Amino acid sequence: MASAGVPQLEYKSIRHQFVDGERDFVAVDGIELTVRQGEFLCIIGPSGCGKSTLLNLAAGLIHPTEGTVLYRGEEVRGLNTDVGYVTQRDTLLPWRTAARNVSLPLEVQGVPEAERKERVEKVLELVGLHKRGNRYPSQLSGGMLKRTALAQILVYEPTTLLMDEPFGALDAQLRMSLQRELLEIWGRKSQTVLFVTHDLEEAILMGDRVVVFGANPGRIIHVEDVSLERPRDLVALRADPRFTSTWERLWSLLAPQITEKE
Amino acid sequence: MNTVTAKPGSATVAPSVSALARQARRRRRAAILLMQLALAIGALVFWEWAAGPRNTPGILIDEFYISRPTLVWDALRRWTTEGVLWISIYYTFETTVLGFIIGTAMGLVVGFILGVNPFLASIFQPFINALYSIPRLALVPLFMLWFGIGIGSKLALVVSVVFFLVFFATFTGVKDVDQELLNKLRLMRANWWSVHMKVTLPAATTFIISGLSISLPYALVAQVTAEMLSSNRGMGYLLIRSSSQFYTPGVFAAITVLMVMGVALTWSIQLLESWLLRWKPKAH
Ligand SMILES: Nc1ncnc2c1ncn2[C@@H]1O[C@H](COP(=O)(O)OP(=O)(O)OP(=O)(O)O)[C@@H](O)[C@H]1O
Ligand SMILES: [Mg+2]
Repeated sequence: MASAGVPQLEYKSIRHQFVDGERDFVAVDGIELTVRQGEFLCIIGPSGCGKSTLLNLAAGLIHPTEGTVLYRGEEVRGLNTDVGYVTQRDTLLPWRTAARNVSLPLEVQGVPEAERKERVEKVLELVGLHKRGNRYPSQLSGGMLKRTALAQILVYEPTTLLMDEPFGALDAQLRMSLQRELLEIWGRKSQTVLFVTHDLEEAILMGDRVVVFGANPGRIIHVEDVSLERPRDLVALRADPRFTSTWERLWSLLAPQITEKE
Repeated sequence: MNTVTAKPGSATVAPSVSALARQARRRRRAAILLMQLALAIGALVFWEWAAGPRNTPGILIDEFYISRPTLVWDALRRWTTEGVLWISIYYTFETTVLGFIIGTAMGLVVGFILGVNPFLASIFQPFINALYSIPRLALVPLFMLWFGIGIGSKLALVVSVVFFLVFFATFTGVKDVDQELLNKLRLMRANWWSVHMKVTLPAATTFIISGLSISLPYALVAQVTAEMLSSNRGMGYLLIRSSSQFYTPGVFAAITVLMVMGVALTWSIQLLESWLLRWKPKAH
């Protein structure tokens, strides 16, 4: 464990551009952000504003054109194997059943078979898929695929979780139960979480802080401290005046961003 | 195994619907099988009836050219009692399969290495393309010079045919692997070996299996050709010996046996394919 003072993740004057045909396309610019150890950080913003880019930078899948990304005080140069990444796009292995997909990270990390089985079962139960473990991805619904991908990362308990709209394709009920589970796990394991979502309610209910992105170019327009105490009652809080006022304030920032596009 | 009926949803729909569909499908298959059987028997009967000794009344075709099913059967029986049939089948089969396995192994290894090393690939590609464009039969004299007229030169020819097809399939499949999947494994701290064993190879399987099923019939062709060119063993030898003795039933008997062998080999590779690709959604 690094000393408690070191931030988990730091973005320092980040600018990232993609080579887009002849021209360069600036995806994000002027990103200054410090993620504290054990923090649950939510990121929200219009489509195409660079949220996934931010997570890819943290994972070391891409490297910034300008500026540096520090992980626990050290610059991210290669892949950052301390993070578990639930990507936006589904990347399950189609030739493995759901259960074998979930056990994949444990296999490559040399976890003994008996322990593997036990942990996989537990996590599948957690995401409500224990009865579908022997199905291949082609036999699962969109929401089941999302949950399998989630289970695959949760199972090996990485120190930092990068989650890109993990609950995107789920119905309200399932979504809330998974939100609860995730908060519970996070509370127990003291992981650091970067959580990208399109849902402002979700961002406020889950996060210690909410980072609001603006577009053209992608940049941070606001960082909100959410002072709701934990553990949170996700149902009761929706009626809480502190929640609603925060929601309204952030929505007034977000709405023009979303309509401005196109 | 996993037919449409095993898909989610259809289990909750009235089971009688899927049962009916299954019954209809089974009936259709039975009808097809029956027609095929009738067609085959009809062809054999016509052959037997139409062919006969030259200048006999009622005979359409001289049996010297096309033999007759009963004569072919006699030839097969004769070879069995002479004790050459099974030995020849075994020899041809064994050499084909052995050559196929060696060629496949080489194609897999080289295809994989070049597939994951774009730099090496661009160095070797023109050479491999050049070698591939040599008509393989032109190499037979060389193979005989190097490996003798025994099993060695036959294996060499089979390997030279199988290797390239499996190589190209593996190479294409490995290059085609989704980089995002590889990175995902690397983020999970998988080492080089696990990344390729758990992702690259399985991902390339669809390509590899098509390379195998294309090259297996060619392996048999190569083996029989080699036997016909220089050998005193195998089905190719029986074939060429019969033809040089103007023993037409023997020629047809050898061809029939080779056909059955070809079908059996194709079946076995299809079996392997459906097992390896059992995760693929079935299109019906
Ligand atoms: N590999 C790439 N090449 C070129 N442009 C890219 C590439 N990846 C992303 N971009 C561009 O960078 C911008 C930010 O992309 P990013 O995926 O980070 O958006 P996002 O905020 O995650 O959007 P969404 O909410 O729709 O997922 C987009 O305009 C996108 O078109
Ligand atoms: Mg995104």
